[in-house]
Amino acid sequence: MMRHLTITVIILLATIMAAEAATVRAVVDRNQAVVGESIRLQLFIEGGDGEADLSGLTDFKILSRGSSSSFQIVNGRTSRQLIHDYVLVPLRAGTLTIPVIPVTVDGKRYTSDPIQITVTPEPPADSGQRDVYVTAQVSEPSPWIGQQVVYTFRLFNAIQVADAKFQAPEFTGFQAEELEDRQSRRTVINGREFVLTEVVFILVPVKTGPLTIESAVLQVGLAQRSRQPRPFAGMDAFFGRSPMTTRVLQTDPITVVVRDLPPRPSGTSFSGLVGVFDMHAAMEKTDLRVGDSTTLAITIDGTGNIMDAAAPAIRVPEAFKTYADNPEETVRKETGGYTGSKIFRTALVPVNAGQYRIEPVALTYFDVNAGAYRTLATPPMDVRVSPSEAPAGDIDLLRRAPGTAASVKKPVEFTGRDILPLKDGLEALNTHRSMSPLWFGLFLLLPALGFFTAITVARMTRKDDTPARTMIDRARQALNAATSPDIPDSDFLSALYRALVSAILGRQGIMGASLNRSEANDHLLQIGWDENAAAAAAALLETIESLNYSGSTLDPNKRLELLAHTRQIVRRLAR
Amino acid sequence: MKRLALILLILSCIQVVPIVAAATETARTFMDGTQAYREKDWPAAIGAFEHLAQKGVNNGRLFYNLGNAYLKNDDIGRALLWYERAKKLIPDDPDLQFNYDYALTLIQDEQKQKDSSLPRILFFWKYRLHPPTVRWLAIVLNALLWAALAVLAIRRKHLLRPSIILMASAAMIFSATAVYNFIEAARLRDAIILPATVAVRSGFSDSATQLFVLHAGTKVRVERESDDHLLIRYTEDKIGWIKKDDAGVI
Repeated sequence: MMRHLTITVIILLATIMAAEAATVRAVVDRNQAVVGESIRLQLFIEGGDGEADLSGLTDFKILSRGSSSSFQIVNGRTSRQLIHDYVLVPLRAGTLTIPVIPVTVDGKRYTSDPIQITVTPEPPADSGQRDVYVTAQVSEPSPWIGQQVVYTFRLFNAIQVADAKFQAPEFTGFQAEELEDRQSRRTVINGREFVLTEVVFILVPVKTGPLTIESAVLQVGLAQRSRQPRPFAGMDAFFGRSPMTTRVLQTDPITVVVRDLPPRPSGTSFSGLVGVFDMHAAMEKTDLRVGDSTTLAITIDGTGNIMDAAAPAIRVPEAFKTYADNPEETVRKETGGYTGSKIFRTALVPVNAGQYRIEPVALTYFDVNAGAYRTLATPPMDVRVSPSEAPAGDIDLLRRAPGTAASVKKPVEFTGRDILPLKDGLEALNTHRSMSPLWFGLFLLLPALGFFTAITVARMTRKDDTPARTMIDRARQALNAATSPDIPDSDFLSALYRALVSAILGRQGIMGASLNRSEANDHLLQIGWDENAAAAAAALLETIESLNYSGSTLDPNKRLELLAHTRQIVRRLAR
Repeated sequence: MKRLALILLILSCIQVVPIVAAATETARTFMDGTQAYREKDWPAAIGAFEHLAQKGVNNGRLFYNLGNAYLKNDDIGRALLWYERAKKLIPDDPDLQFNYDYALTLIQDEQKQKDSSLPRILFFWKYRLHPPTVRWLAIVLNALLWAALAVLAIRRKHLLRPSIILMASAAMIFSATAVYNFIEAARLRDAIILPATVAVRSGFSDSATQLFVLHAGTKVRVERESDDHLLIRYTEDKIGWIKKDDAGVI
């Protein structure tokens, strides 16, 4: 019997455990696709939470679309379902397999079933049969080091695309800068009209040898073509509610062979410029007086790394002082690369009269078209300097502004870059203690506690100045005065009278100094005294008053009797 | 009595000597670090300053020095990590701001956009004032408020009422901001990418799909962490897993 019961319990427990074990299912929305076309993969985990390990999906690019969960109640049993949502993009054609996906739930490993996906290759790009595709090309496959190369990424789409996300290549070995304007235009390929969008980068190789530009990747959403006609599909299209499918497009990698510059010809000073350049010079005035200034402007323009152009060396006769101005640079980024000009202005101030010659200014650069170094030179310039009309001593050359351009305010530029020094004071060793939330709460609470304490203390110590309190105090003071042994009879009786009147009026909250017998009786009845007690108290008041006015002498026993009687009434009234 | 006094003196000396010795050693390590920095021995300077930081010295100036040493050692990731840690302690230090700005020019990845401009306009005090300043403002305003309430209750100075309403509003705003700052500091964690290049992947293993690449010095938000990995978010649409060693939590 016991044995049967044990087996039954084991079977029951096993059934419950089996019922509570997690299950994992993988579901795709299609099992046929074209390379780059997205497939939706949903991973259903029932009976627990778990992270899926997708590292086995090497034939697909994986994009996570988040997770969701839901609860179900079936036959009174509650179960939770966790759904991980992914987009898979096949990376090659063929029969691909989504392998078993391991999921760890509560330390136990579960797996989904494998799924076969048939992936067909895309038609050629120039056939016009693809709805959307991308290409990339460079302007120069074998540039010189330092020569700018234009990298153009092109998106061709014959159907509308949305939510495009572009990931440019790393451009390792290049300095890369993107042109800000992305141009779109229409073009026809094999009789079919496409929208062509171009993204252009200007690349400057910084090392020699073969360099590979990795694939550029574009993720786009495409309106899904429904295989079966659906009612109101036209309305969906009208309202932009067509179902979207994600495509990941990528270009082929491009290899660029970067050539080193040839050896520099002896006797020349290479400026570091690589490209195609021109140079010319202009002198503002060639006929001067001593102390006057003229400006020599050297302009270098062309295509290439114009921004790297340094000021060319100008050989000026010793009779001139020179003041170099900041260069004026105009560089544009165009689809052909960097192009523009750089103007170097130098103010020349003659200090002696005479005929002088400014020697030619030379610039050596590397001509990428010719594949050789080329030296440019300006023509020599003659300057005639006549004596100044002012006395020579009056010409303060050093204080005189060398030219109008020098007086123009300019933004201060960094001439060198470095960080500021260490903080070497030993205060760097004092540990900073930040305020904890607990202390912050206490600091907020303390003033409130202080407030309530102050209010309580104020209430406790506040003097009661109501008429009732004042009159009762007055009655007590008068009674105390009456107890003094040296007090004369008249003062004793006045004190008793004052004590009684104050006590009776104080009980009713009335200020006053005198009462007759009937008034006292009425007041006492009003506060609830019985008639006898009220009459007795009123009679005592009248007795005291009459003794006081009669001027008779009181024997000690009478004094004690009156005092005791009065005290008794006052105490009762002050209670 | 004299003997007792002598024993007490000796005992107090025994207590004090290790503290003084530890302080001297700490100061010596710091001086060694600054000397190594002056001699351009960046690894030695880093070693000395890191030693102090690991010993528990929590000081913005020390962290600034560490940032400098790492920057000089061409380790932009760790330089920015320590500058960020220093900014939490000495946010208004001009030297730190200058060097931090300089370091930012050296990182390769585009900086994330900060919060949208509308909250920055509406809650300008939260973004313009540093958390310690907000905390102390809340404490001071709260104390003033209760003091004014006490005066109002005891002295019945009704003229105080308009100013009390203003003070109560300000105290509530700054207290709420301070509490929000505490919650934000506890819940939101940022990290700095340390190696020159880090592949952010869809899963834990090295064969998981590489989603995007980040470079040294880039600041990311830590969303979740496992034993060896961090789930990081670079922008709204860029999220993935990296190894814990590849990022330093600020």
